[in-house]
Amino acid sequence: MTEMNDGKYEAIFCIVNKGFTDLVMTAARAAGARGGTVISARGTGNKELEQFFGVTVTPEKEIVMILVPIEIRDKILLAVNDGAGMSTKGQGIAFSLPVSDHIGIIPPEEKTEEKKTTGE
Amino acid sequence: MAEITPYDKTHRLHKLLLVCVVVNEGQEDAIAQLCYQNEAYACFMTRGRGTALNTWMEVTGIGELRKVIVFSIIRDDTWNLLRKSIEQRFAVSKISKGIAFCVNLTSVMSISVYKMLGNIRIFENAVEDDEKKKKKKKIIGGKKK
Repeated sequence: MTEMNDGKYEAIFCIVNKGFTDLVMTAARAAGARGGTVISARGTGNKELEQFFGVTVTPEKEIVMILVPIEIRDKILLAVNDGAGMSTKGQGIAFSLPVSDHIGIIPPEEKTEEKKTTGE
Repeated sequence: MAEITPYDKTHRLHKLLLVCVVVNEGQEDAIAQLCYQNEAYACFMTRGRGTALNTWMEVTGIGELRKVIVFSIIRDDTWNLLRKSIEQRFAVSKISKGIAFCVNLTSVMSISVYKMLGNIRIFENAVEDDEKKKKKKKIIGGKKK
C-alpha cells in the first residue's frame, strides 16, 4: 500500500438517542470539528444489565460519524462526553477508529484560501 | 522487495480494508459500481443526513441534507486504484462530491469469510489459467515432455 495518510485523521463514531445529534455536533463544533453524517440505528440493550445499572436503553438511536484530525480527537471526545455523554439526555457513547486513508477532505487552511479567491 | 513465489500467488495474505464513502443521495450506485470494478465482493448502503444546523437550514430553506453511506470491503492492493476512481468521480460535479475513508480490518471470523470478502478466487484462477496456457503451448509446439 502506498501513499497512505497514516495517522492524520480519525473517524469518531458517537451513538446517541434519536433526536439528540445536535448535542453531539454542537459540542464537536465547539472543539474544532467541521461537519458530520448522521445514520439511523436501533439499540439492543441487555435487560439484566439495564436493571443492574438502572439505565434503560432507548431502542431508537442515531450514529454521528465525524472525520477529524488526530490532533483534536481527544478534545472532541471530551467535549462530546460533556455535551452528549451518558449523564445527558442524549446518553451518548463515542469512540474513534484510525483512518488509513481519506479522500475529499479539504484542510481548513486551504478552504479559507479557496473562499478568498472565489470571493465567498 | 522479496521475490514472489508461486505459493505467494495463491496463498499470500492481503490485508482487508473497510471503505466508507459518504455521498449525496442518488450517487450511491455509481460508487458501488466503482467498488465492484475494483474487485469488491459486496457493498452495503444506508441512508443518512448531513449535520447542518437546523437554524441555518430554516434560513436557507433547505429541508434536509440527504446523504447515502456506502460501506464496502476490499483488499489493500486494490485500494489505490479504487482511490483514483473515487477521486475522479468526486471531481465530476458539485453534486457528485463526497468524502471517503478506509479503516484497516484486524480480523475476520473465518477463512472462508476472508476469501469471500477479499475476492481471493481471482488469484487461484489466474494461476490455473497460466498452467493451462503452458500445457497448450506444449501441445502446439509438438514437443511434449
